[in-house]
Amino acid sequence: MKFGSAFREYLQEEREWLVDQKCAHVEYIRLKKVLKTCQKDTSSSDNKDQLCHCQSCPLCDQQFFSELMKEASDVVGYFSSRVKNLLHLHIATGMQRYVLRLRQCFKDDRQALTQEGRILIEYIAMNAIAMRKILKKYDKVHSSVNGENFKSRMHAEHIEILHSPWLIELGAFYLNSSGLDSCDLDGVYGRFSCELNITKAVMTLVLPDSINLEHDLTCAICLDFVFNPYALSCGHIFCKSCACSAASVMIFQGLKAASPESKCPICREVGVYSKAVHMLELDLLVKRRCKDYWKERLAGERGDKLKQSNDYWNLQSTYSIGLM
Amino acid sequence: MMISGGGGGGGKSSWSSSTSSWVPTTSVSASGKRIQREMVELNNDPPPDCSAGPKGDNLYHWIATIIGTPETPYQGGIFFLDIKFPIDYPFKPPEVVFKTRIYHCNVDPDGRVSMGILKDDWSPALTITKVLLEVRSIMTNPDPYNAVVPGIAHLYSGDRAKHDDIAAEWTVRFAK
Repeated sequence: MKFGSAFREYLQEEREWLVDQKCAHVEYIRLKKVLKTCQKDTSSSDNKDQLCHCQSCPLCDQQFFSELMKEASDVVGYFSSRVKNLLHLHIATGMQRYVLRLRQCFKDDRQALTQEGRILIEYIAMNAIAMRKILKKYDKVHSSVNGENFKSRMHAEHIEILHSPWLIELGAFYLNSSGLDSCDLDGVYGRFSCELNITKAVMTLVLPDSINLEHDLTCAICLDFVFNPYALSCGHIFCKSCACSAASVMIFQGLKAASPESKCPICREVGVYSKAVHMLELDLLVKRRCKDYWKERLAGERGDKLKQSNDYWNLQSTYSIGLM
Repeated sequence: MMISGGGGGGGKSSWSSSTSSWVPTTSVSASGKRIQREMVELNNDPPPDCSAGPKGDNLYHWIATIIGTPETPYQGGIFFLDIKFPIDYPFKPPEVVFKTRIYHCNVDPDGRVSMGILKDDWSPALTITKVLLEVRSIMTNPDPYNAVVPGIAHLYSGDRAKHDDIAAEWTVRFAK
């Protein structure tokens, strides 16, 4: 099946289960029409391939890239909020957990959550494929590399659809739900699978259209499996304690206390700590798969936290008494 | 920072003012675990023409060797380096010192290596493997604009052939 018709079919299905006004998607069919118009209008009669050989095309550039950027941003935003909501229900604590347990007597929430997870994986995958194909088509029509450059720009602005930490969280959610180290799902346009390799600390997500995403779950600071992981807004994942130390803040203060000048230890981008995402589902996955390691790390982090807070308050009292 | 099993003991924490600017430190066991992991990584996948490992039982003091890159004045030479890890590694950079004398504008007369990644550009995500590769890189392409020996840098920029002759002579004299 050609992607255009598969995407159309997907959108029709999508309307049934994503009954949400905020739901955004890549306007693949409309943008393809824009490119077709451009192809017809700019091609010279002697050009056999009917290609527009201009590096920037006045006909479609104005609307094409700005709209695509907005659509990608909306897709990522919508996906993040939906996954956040889904996982909040899955890893509920306290009173909320109690209410959800009560509800389970009357309604099978787990199945509903799994179904929504599948819908969201398909949603992000289909939009990512649409984005890839439309940019490839743009470069083909214009014989340019603007489409490739646009991908780099999206990466720099952290709105690249498949680079969301929430996708890793969704993968972890599926592995937690299945209780296995791999799981498979069927979608409109092909098969999805998620696999965890404990020894290499790698999570692999295989999406349709030969999209193979390998997520390294090793913290670049302690060189160990991530514990209590946080994804900085640049997308790099670290243990909370490691990230706090890198940002020169105490564990009990948290990453929000980091200075805006603090850089990511890997890409050295500034201001990435304030919107760090706590990856609870991934932490649950580590907790279930490596129990002893997780307990060891928990005890260690508690010890460090206690020591830091003791040192901090001792110093505060010393200052207030005026001994320093 | 915490690495599996690292409790609170060992390292000291320090604050430069009463409210903020906490200087991160790690417990000895935490930094030790990180160094051990690097050692395993280095043994499994050593960088080309480089080797490194602890000097005796001290995990915080390593000896490294770099073989002079072919087609450079250092070719054929075996250069020994001393690597000292601070207690709060990896939040502070290691100290890298050439034990073998080398004629290079980025290495001072005492053998201390002057590189951005060992000073302000250090990041806790960097490893000894990356540091050794960077040292090897400056041996191939010295950086005369950030030199610690201006005389050598001046010669490198002005009379490259003479610079290379002297460097090769030093390599034969001290590194073979």
